[in-house]
Amino acid sequence: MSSTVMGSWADAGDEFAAPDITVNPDGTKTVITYRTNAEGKKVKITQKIREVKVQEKVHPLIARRKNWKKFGKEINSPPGPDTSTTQLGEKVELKLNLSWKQIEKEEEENKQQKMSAQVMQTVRCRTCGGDHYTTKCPFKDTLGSNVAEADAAAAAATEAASTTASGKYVPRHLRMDANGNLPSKESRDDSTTLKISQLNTFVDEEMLRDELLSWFGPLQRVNIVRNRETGESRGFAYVSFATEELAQRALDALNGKGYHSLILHLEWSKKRKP
Amino acid sequence: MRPIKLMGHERSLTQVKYNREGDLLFSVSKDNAASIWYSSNGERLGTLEGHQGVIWSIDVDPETHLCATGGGDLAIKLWKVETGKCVFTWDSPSPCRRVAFSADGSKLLAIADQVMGHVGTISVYDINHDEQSLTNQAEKPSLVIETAQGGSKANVAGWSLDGKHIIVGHDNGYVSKYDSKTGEVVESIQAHGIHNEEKNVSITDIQFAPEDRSYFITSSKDKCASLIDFDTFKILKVFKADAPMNTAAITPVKDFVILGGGQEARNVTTTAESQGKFEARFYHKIFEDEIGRVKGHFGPLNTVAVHPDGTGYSSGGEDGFIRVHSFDKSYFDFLFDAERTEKANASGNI
Amino acid sequence: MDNYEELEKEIRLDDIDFSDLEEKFEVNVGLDNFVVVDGAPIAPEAKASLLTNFIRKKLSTVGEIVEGEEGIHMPIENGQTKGFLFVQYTTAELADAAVKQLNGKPLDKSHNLKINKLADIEKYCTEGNVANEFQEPELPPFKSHGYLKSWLQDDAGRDQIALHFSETVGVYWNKKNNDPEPVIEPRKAFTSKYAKFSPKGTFLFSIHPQGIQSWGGADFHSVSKFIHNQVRLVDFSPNEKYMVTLSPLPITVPDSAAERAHFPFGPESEGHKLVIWDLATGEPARTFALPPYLESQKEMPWPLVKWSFDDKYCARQGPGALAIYETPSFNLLDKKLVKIDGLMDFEWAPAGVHLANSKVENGEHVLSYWTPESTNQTARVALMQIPSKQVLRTVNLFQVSDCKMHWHDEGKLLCVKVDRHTKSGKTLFTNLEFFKTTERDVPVEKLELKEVVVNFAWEPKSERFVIISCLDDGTQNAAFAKNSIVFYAPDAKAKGKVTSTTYKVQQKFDTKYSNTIEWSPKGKYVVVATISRSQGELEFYDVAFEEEKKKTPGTNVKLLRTDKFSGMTNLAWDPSGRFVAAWSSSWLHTIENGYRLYEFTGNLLKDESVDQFREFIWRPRPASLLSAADRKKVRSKLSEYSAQFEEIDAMEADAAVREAILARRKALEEWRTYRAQYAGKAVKTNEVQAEIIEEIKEEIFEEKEEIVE
Repeated sequence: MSSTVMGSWADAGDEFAAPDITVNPDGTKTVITYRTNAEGKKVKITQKIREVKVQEKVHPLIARRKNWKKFGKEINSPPGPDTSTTQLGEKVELKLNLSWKQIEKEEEENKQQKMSAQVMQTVRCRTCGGDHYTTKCPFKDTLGSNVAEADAAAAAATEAASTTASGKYVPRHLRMDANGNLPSKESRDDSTTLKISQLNTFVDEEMLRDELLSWFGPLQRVNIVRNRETGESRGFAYVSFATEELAQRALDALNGKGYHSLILHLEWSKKRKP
Repeated sequence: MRPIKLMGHERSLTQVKYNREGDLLFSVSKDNAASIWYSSNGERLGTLEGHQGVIWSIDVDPETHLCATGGGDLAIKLWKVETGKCVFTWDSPSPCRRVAFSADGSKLLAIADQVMGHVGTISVYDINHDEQSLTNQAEKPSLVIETAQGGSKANVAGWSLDGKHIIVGHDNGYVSKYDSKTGEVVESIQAHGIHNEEKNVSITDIQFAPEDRSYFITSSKDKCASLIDFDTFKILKVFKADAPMNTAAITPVKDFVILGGGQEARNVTTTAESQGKFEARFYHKIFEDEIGRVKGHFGPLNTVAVHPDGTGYSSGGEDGFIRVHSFDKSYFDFLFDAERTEKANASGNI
Repeated sequence: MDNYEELEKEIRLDDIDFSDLEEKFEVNVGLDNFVVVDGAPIAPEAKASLLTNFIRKKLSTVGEIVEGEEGIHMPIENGQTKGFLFVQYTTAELADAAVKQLNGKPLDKSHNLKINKLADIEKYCTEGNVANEFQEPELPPFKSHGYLKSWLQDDAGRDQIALHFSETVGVYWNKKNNDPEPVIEPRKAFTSKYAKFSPKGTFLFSIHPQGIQSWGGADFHSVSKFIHNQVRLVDFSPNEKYMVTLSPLPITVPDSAAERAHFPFGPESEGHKLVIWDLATGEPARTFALPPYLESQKEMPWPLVKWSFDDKYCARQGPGALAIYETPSFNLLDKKLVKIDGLMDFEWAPAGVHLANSKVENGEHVLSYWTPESTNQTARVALMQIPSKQVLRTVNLFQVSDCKMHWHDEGKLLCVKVDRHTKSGKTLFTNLEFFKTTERDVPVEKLELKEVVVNFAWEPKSERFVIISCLDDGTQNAAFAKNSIVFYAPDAKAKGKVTSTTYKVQQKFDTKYSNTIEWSPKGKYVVVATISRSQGELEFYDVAFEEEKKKTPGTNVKLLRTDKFSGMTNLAWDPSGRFVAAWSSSWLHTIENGYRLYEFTGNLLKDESVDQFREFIWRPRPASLLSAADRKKVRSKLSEYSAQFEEIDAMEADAAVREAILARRKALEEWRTYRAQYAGKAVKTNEVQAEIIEEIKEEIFEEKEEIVE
């Protein structure tokens, strides 16, 4: 069946693409449809459908009409609904309520509040961005004040990036990077990755994430290279930043600075050998 | 609730209608085939082929014996529902905008639009139900009501329960009661264009009380719907929306009305955000409060029909889809405070 | 102005009736100082002076007798004393005292003195002073107190509360989160101590130095006065038939006859401190002297009189014995004490007990008691049936420190909390002994715990219970939260075997300070609270959370809410189980005085700090009169019934909402009227036999969504 809708509604485009229907050997059908969700993302819906015979008590007139032969376009169709013209839709809700408008509004507001709450932070160090006072910053000497101005610009980027994170947990390897691409194992995009060496052995991922690099977050990946047997740090780490720009900032700000008694060395990561 | 999507039409829906028992759903659209569906599972019984263009309206007689369609191709067609065969065609002087059977099925009215130099008319045909001679119908209407000089054209119309009167919704927001014998106006009232400042007050739909046709609802481009008593011809209730309304229906069982409409196609940005956001609006019939909406359509709702048992409703949209809904239990459970008190009082104290 | 002489001339003094003045200012001729002593020995004249001296000595014990002949006159006739004499005391008061103290007292082995006042003898023995015919005393006209249970007829089913703050007591309607609505104008100086409702809520009592005053009716007017000087403690029988009062001051019958006429107690109550009153008549039914061992006790155990569930019996505990009285005579049952050596404590079953072999419709009267270990005897807990005094069951226990008897409200079960000590005697632990009173031979189930149980409470109308326990490790540091709240339920598995239900832990919450358990009177919900000097916390539990849904009873304890209330001194459920009041009383301290009102779920409705707040008193309700069928009906239609109350609530809360609701009511009414004219005209639907058809429907049995971009 064709499903071109005339006029301006055709502009809605591929929303109305015919469903992809496969008949499985066991008689069930798999229907794949696409739609766009509230966030503007394309959603693939896979439904498995089976036909069930239902017995119902009905008016005799209805019973008689049930046995009518099909006609017109349906003249040769077998009994039962045809998936090309008849589909089960998504569930919709009808919540009857006197104040449904207020409820909807409240939900909207809640959503916004949640979003802003994610961005908010009560105490923020001006040097490193950690949740402590600037004067108490553990590496105010390391980072110094020159970072501050650079950060002003970076802050915007950071926040923008952090807001895209939704409340649901997504495993790291499935999280999208700043470009909206899912990093794949085979071809890791190392364009935003820095290698940080000259790290003290007790520095762990958390310290890098929360202390040293928190101002340059969000971080895609922080990976300290460790001895396979002992688990001891080998003194260097690979850190993937959200953007190349952020990585550059981190490189500029931290390279050659002291951190836990050692002078840091930062460089662009080389593509790892296969 | 999970609606059934009916995708048999290729263009915007113009009208959907249940038969008396509600097992069949009749639909017409701007393409040239009407469809008949089993409402319970969305299976299509068949299509009615024969019109040359837009079909504006469809109606079915109480026995589900015959159904009539009126189209932009200047044809009014009578079909035998069981076979899908066209048994008769009347010529319409101008595009036919609305057809409606009388409550007993013996008469059919058809509105011919006021275009192409034609004065808008409402024609009444006597219907011959005799199975053997279905194709033998009176060619000439038994009554023709012309739009009065300087009057406003008829958009929609329907019959009183006894068939003695025809209620007509006009383009200027007026509703008139005509004598179906003489064609004279018995009463007239301005039902739309008085509740707000809207310029376009055209009446878009008229549907009757499911219980006894003693009152009816009209929808209008003026973003309102009016509930009017047939006898007194007084406005009982007004339901206010925020967009032009194309259709309105009264639900049996529950004291609700369902309104459908939405911004004109050209006025709506077709962003992803707005997609699927066209809603059927539920109002409480007695309290006039809006109490809920059902999303799903991608364009304005053009037509809504309620299952005669009150168990569900169908909506046809500008998007070319029909969505057949069955109400959940919560729909039947919902009661306003005042209604609950009434019920509690009725169930008696201990 | 006329002078007096002139006036006198005009008035003839003989015409004036001075009788009222004469009466008022009657000169005391001194007869009041005289008493007549009868019953003295008849002695020969020679011994008269000896006898006089002996009697003078005896009678002087109450006060000074006038010297010489004037003091004692003993008539002599035919050489013999006449057996009576006249005695003049120095004051009338002493004469009164002599009558009171010495009348009827023996002079020697064979002579009892009869002492009366001379005035009385004159008054009652003079011909004509006392009518020969019995004159019926005039009954005061009946005064109606109105309908004493009028508060139960409240349309919204609200409960009443008495709030006691500073010197004022007011009775209010509970209006949830709104300010309580006064039922009466709050009364200043309403009571000198505390206010109290009778157990079924009919009367409100105030305590005064002179006695107790009861109030009732819709306007809380004065109903009865109960004169009991310096009364301190008050208690009631469960059915409001009797009231028990205790005063530290012994009853002293007033000397003067006039005062005695209004005094409720006769001479037999002299020196008694404990009074049982008949609430209906307002008269004392019985008075008791305090047993000597209680006189010196600093803290009075209260109540001293315990009642059977139906007010039919009451009992007092004495050393080694139990005194059981029958009502309304208040005579000792079988005229005998029940001897129980070493009796420590006893409790009546709070309801009739349906013993296995008994056919008594309302159940039997049963009480339980316990006795401690002695040199050659174990400690014992026993059940005794009354009036037969038959011991139904005894359990022997050893290493017992203390026992507490917790009857289940339906009388089916008795849990005895036995605090036992280890052999070393340093630490304690608890056993719970469950007496199944309705089963044959009253089987006893034992639950042995390692911990010591601080508190125990049965869920009303259910076999579940909650304990607060803590492990006794010999240290007593209250700063550590080492209490556990443990929820028990009967083990469902054992239900098949009627003989042994065991109790199983449902849920346990550790490291708590909690010490107080308050069950909702309707069960299911319980507040476990910490009420102590440094802590104040309420925890609201639902012990049958979503039980209907889960269909697995016994594992659904859910903590609904907690709230801190550091000043809290008391808490109480309302009689309907809908609300919990917690308050901080200025009787105990001055921190955060005021009250809080919670929903049964722990939702805080009202937090009111009131200066000098003393007490929050829910007005109790009598048991519901609804039959089981009625109750079932209410339950099945609960949503419908509750709807009207929700509407009332909404209207109370907000004027705008109220307008809207009223408008809707009107609209609905109008619409119904409008539709009524069409009634019966509706299109007839033809009723036909339905047919069964088969139809193919699609069904989604698996659906998944994934974001593809």
